[in-house]
Amino acid sequence: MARGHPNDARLNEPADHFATLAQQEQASHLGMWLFLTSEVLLFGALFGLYTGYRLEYAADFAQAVQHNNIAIGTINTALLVTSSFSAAWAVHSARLGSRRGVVTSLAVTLLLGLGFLVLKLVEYLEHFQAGIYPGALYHSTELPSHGANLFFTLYFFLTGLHALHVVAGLSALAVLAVLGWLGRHTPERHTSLELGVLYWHLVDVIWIFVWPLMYLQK
Amino acid sequence: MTDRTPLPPEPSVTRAPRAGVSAAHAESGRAYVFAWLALLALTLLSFGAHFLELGALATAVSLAFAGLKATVVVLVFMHVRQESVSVRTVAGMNVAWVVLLSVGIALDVAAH
Repeated sequence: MARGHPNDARLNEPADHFATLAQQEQASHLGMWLFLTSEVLLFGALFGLYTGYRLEYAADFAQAVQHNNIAIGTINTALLVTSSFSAAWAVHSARLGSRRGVVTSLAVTLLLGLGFLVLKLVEYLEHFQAGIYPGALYHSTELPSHGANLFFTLYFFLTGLHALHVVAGLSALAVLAVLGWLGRHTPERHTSLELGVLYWHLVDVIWIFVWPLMYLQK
Repeated sequence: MTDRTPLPPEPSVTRAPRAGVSAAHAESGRAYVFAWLALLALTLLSFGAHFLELGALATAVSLAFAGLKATVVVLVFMHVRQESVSVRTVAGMNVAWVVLLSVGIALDVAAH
């Protein structure tokens, strides 16, 4: 029987260097949280840059924020927090032993995540039509200030990096959905699902802070 | 001559039960639904607050809503309440680093 098959008894045994399965799971969670910390520091540096430039170019930033589509930003926030709920529900379903629940919840999460990316693309295209690009490519006649250029360079870098994380999260969740379909997430063992969903929640938490900074300022 | 007392026997390594490893992390389905509704409500409130004339407080208010929402996600969806002390420490340090970085930069820019 292949390793990883739901009926494989070895699936419920810890690796050699762990005394118990609980200890192994705890180590996995700690490792994942340390990885998430590195991600938080990555985005934290960008939030730090935002803080500095915002204080230095307060008027330009206030003007530039108005150009972002607040409706798209808000709908995307609702999509991501709902996707966090459906992802959490996938873990809940795994604990209850509901294979259908796992797959359906992850499918809903994937659809919401794809919806987020489509709306982001629509917003990017709106900006491109107005000459709003990152860095030296910026040639907006409506917002010609250096501060606006800095704001949108940060906007593209922050939201672009976040979008890459959405793509990575969706890829991981797609693989986990297939594994769920194959019945690999059992009530006793579903650590991979928990870790993948933890990553997705981090993507949500980062957006929760991007939304007010990039859309709700005056 | 020193009096040598025999060491107690090594505790035997016990294997965890095969089932229920993740049960310690269990959160009720109702908690997830409440958390989701709270997140949507906080998003709407934050959106509404944007149209109020809050002046210099606007940024603080929008970030306070964001902080509340992130707390809900971390505590309920990410199960930090049920995690080990080491995981909770790492989660707490995340907040500390970002606050330290942002406040430090803000103070530096304000001072120049």
